Amino acid sequence: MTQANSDAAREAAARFTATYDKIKTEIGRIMVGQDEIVEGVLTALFAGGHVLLEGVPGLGKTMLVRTLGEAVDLGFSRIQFTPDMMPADIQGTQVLVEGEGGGHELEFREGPLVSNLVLADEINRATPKTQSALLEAMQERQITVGRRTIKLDEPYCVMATQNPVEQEGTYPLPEAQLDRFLLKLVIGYPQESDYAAILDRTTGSDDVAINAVSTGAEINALREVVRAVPVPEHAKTHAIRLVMATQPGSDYATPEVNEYVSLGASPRGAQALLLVGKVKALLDGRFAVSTQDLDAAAKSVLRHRVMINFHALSAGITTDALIDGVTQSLRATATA
Amino acid sequence: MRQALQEDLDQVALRGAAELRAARAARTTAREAPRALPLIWLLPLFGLATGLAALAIGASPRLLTLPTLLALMAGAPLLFIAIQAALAWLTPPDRTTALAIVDEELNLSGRALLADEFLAKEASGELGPFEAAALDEAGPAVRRATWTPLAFARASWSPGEESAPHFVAATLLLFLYAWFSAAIIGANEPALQPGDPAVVAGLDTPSSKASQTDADAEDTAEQTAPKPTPKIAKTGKPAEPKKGEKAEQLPDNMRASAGKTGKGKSSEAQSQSSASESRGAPSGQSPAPPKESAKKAQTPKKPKKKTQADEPPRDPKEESEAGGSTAGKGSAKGSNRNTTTSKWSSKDQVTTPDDQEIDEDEDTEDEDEEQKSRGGMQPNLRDRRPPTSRDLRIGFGNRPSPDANGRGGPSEGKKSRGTASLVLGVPIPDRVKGQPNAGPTRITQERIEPSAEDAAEATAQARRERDAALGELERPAPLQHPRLLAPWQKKLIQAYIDGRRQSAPVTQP
Repeated sequence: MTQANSDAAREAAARFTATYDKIKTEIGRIMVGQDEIVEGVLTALFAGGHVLLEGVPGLGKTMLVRTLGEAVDLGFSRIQFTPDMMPADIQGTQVLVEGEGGGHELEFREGPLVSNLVLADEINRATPKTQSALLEAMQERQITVGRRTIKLDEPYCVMATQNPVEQEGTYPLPEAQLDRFLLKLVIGYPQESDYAAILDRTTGSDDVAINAVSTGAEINALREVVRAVPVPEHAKTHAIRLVMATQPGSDYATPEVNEYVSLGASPRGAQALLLVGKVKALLDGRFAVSTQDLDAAAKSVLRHRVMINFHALSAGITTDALIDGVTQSLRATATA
Repeated sequence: MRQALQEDLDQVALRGAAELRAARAARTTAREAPRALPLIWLLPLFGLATGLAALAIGASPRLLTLPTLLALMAGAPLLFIAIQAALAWLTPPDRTTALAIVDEELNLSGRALLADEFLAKEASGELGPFEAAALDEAGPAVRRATWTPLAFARASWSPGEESAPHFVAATLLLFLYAWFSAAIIGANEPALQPGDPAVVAGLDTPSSKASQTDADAEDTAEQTAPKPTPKIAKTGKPAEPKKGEKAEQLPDNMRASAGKTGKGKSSEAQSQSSASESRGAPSGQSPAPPKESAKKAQTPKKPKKKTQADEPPRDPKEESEAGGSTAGKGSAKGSNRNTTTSKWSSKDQVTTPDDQEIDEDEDTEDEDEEQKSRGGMQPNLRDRRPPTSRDLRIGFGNRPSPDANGRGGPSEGKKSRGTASLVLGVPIPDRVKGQPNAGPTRITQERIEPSAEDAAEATAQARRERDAALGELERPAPLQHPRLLAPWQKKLIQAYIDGRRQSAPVTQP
């Protein structure tokens, strides 16, 4: 029986890896380079989380999300956030339509939030009121408009982008909303070797068509596989200490954290660490989460959950550097 | 299969524990070695300090020999480090830590740890499919860990630049210690031997009579020698005390005394103290009437060399006689008595602090009793102050006018409170009593260094000629007083000005 069980797990893990590779390959037909970003987006998709993409314009953020929607045959909608956008613009509202008999009646028209893959472009340009309209959709997977509550179809994934420059007239995302993103991926400039391929694909006459290599149902099934990956006690302890180490004043906080961090990660950060660690373990061909998986996921999971203070800003300390110090400190403590 | 995995895990845990113990011992050695370094200079420093302290209090310093000190300097840090390392070695690591060490060292991605955990789960029948797959996958990795050599990085320590000051300080202190033990202690040892309490106590014992006889003989030889003692040189004739003969016959450094009289001091110390005291205070050594000096010379208990501190308290008669000696350089006004020997002066100088202490103690006790009687409900009565004076009279505060004589005339000022303050004509000062102005004046002085300041450059230049006529000038009013200028004076001035105009005509612009 044990052997049969282990065989089932192996098959599930193999199916997961195969699907993951197919989607990644399909996206790679459009996207050149940015492997880490593509892997991060797929990880969030399989882990059931949302992604915050940060990068300057022109790096292919929108194209990545649209390509992903096409590759997995999911509904895709894009919202270009502007300061004058209202919650009804993204959630939906009742409009007066003409009935068949010539009369008029109110009919609810769903907003762009009702989809599978939602690209919230330049989310920090919307007002907090509109940003807050995303909270319910991201956490509860439902939206409430008036007396109407709409359950969102799974898989549901919000992929928001924001521009690190041109911060004039923007509304930085509040901590409550940042915490709801599973990952924050920072997109950098492509490598020199990637530029030629990007130019060829985007300026030539050949139009690359993306094929749907997976479905929403398969994604949902693979999400169950991810959730089934066990987490040993030592890995769980490591995840907890990793999160606690970002909280100033805790037992595991480094001196840099105590000096430069104003707000540490919440327990939701530990949940995200384990989910991402499970995906990484499956991708690595293992059947349980290890501390290396957690360390590898720490930056993308924790960088938007750790708020640095003014001293860190003035000293040029980044959250990535602080998280690196935290992981090194914990590893040194574990081997002591 | 699972049994083999369990055995492999046990073996890996043993390997990991051994590696961890060794690593902890090495790390403890590296950590504690810099902390133990100060011991190599603290030991000679401590030896020097104790030796100096012993010399300062007059005790016999007992110092370690150089080889012993060197052995301690080398052995103490090593012993300290060895104890710390042994404690680290003896602390047993738990199984989880040992397996984690092997996982980390061999990069097993936690397979050893999870295998250990999932095996326990399998025994309780809670194993899931992924856990079973993880166990199957961990088997080969754990087997490999049983024979793969562990290259665990161990901390090491070697004396670097930071340890150089310690060695330099130890060398310097070692040389200082050697010099100290050779020079100071070596010189003091023979002098201290006869002064040893055992020797002094044994002077009266029969067994020590032989040595005492030898010492007497040496003393006699010294006395008969042509070299005069200071005592003989001062008095011109040798003193012949009978009771103090024994002590006189002892060597100077063996003279015993008691308490404040300086009996515990050596003769050298006594002579030093007597010299200093003779400078500071008038004594009986100053020129005295011949009668008294003769009387003192007849007194066997008071050799002239003795100081005032060594003297027993005199009787009042003797003090009155001694007061006639012209000791002080400046005599007191209205009295030719020596103030240092008079009764009242000594009582005034000596007893006043004691009286104050006694008074303060009594006051404190009274206040404590009062506080106890009130049950501690009131603040400390020691801080109580007299109530604020509400006297509004003008002039002399609470004191009566010094001009008041009780027979009319100026009397005490009227009170300016109550009804009296409503009566006009009773001035109320608009100032703080006792202050020359409206209140305290605070003067703050700041030290400011002069500093250069930018200023517009001013160029010196000659005054130019007037480039326009002045126009009509107002003439002064005619002099009202005829005496200011006499007619001849007016003529003289007019002639002078006319002459000036003729000699130097005014240039027209």
